[in-house]
Amino acid sequence: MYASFQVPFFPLAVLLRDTLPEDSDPTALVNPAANPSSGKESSHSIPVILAANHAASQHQIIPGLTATRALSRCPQLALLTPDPDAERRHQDDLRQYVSSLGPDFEETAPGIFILDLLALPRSPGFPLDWIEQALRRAAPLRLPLHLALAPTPDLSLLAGGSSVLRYTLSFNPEPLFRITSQPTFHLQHIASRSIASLCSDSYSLKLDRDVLSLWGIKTLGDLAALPRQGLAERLGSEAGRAHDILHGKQHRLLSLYRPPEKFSLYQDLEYPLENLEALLFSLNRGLGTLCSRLKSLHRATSSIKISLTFDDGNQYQHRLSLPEPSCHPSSLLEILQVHLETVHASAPIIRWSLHLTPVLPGETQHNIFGYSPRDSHSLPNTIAQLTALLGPDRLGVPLPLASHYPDSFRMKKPLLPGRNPKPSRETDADPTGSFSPGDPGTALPLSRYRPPLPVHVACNAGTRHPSPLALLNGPCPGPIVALNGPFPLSGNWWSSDKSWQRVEWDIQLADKTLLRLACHSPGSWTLEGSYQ
Amino acid sequence: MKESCEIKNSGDRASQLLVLRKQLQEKFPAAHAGKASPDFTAPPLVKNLPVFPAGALSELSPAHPASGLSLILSELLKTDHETEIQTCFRDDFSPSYQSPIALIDGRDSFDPASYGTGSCSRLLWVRCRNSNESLHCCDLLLHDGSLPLIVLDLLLNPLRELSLIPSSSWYRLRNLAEQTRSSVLIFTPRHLIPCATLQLSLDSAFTLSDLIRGRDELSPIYYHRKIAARGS
Repeated sequence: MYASFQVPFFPLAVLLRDTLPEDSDPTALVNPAANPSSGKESSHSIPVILAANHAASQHQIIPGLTATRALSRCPQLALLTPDPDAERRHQDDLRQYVSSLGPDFEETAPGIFILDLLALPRSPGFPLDWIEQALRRAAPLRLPLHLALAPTPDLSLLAGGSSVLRYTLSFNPEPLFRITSQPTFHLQHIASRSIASLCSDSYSLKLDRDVLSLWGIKTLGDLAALPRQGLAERLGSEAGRAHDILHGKQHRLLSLYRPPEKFSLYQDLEYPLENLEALLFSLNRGLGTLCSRLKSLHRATSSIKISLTFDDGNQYQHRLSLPEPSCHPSSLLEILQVHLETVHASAPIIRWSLHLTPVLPGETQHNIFGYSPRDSHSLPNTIAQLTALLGPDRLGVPLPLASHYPDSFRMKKPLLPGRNPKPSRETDADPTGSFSPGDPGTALPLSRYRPPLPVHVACNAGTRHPSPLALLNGPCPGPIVALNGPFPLSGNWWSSDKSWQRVEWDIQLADKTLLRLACHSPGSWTLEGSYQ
Repeated sequence: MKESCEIKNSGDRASQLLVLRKQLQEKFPAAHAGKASPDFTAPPLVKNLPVFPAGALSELSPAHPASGLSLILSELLKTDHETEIQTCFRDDFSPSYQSPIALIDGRDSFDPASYGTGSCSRLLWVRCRNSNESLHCCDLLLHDGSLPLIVLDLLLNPLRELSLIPSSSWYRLRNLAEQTRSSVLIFTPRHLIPCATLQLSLDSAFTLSDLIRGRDELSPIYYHRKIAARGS
């Protein structure tokens, strides 16, 4: 046995809460039309009536009517647009209400729930006593409610649309309960309903109503009276399924609602922790609990969010992304340990909390003939250790910038295992730069001195760019036997504070050492690097 | 031995040793079962690049100031489909253009602009300040074992600093490389590593006029100073 809970015209009912049906003005819900200023599009370019209250329906305002025609029928008609936030809130309230009645229920549509009564205890007054209690419990929601019982989930939905079979809760303004005189479901009670009631989204049926209408089949009773085989032969399996629904032969399973699991844990420590080992011991237990929860649901985690509260009131929060989903406490603890070693605590820790993001366990097939890491978790760990050892911006993938300024590059995040993209031959640096870093410039790569070494140079100042003759100090003093240059460079000339210019030379010393020399200003020379 | 040893008259002790070893393996295969011997006589698969042993240290040193050691790195970082770098002993896979290479830069001297974006994209650049940091980083990466090729560039580190590195540190790195089957190429200003399986000296002497030529036209000349058998 199944019970359906339906709030008629749910979006409108949410907006008209606490409004007396007899005293309310004619009101209709209209879909939000296209608003050019917002840039959002509506499925209907013309506003269409979605639902109408009792007062409006008395003026022949029906769903599907355009707003213009509706207004022509009822000039004092008030048009309302849906409020998604309010609908979401009331849907949550309804869900909570239905979950209080039983554990196994389906959230079929906004404002529509189906409850499986199989698991409920059967008292002597079941189901009437149970129905009355359920309706009374719904009174605080202040929403009209239709409750109907039927042998199958789909029939319970159809029964909810029948005034003969349903139990009703309405407000005037006190809650009014209406008990049906036909507690047992029978097809004849819904026979007079239109076939359109089977075409709602709740049934996922595609019936050719035009053909049925031409045949004179307009009600559910007419459809149910037809032979099933002939109906299926002529109109397909969908019509056969509709026939089965009406005769109670289709008993589908409910898509049971399961509340989302939360994988969070926190602990208020009895005494403040001052060292990392004690904190890791405590975190290990928490990770073990969370990972066992993940494993029980066949999930893994893709990120760890840790937050620490210190004795002085400060808080520290950080999210660590994992290279691959994992639910092994030891791997997660190792990642946390490497990160926490770089954290400086301002005071002892009095509370910690962990939150794991659940994901499906990843199944990755690495390239068979290509590079695949031994352990996808170890390399990011090692990279974290290297970063902690060397400092920020000392580890990564270098990306030459499209700039003429020498030694201009930036560091990208290090490679992740299994995610090595095909190397691009085009620069992905500043798209406005025309300089292609792919062009190395010289045949021999340069090994740079960082920072460049200041040197004293004997030069010939007679030319426009002073020509170097000998290095007077530095790592390789001596006369210059050959040189290429000058190579003048400049940039950012349009900015007075960022403009730069220099002249570079490639020089060869007597012992065949090849160096790059730069002149920044008269008398200021640096050794940029050597050719190895 | 019944057959007379046929020793190539190349005047190269290393070549003679290789020929002798090969003949011994052919004569006594059971004694060498499970010990794959290095096939250094095989021609390098890539132009300008020798064959580097996997699970071992290889030391490259320049005989002259501009000997083209950086061309070795440039060739390793090339990303052409035709350029596949194979190391012998590594029969489980061949590092292809997709394999990342770690460069432990002893003095932070790597110049990305000299290699181009494509070459830099497969590089993990570790910018160290001194040789101690470099060895520490090399130790961490070898322990990890995820990267098949690690280049340790100590060319610009002072010789005084490098000579203070105890031999045990090099043996330790060699043992780690053996365990993880990673190839470690070490660029040193002169030969310092006693346990290196392969020691190469680059004998090229490029001049200023070579800088304006195309990189593909330059071909570093190297000779084997030492080729050690596995386990020695």
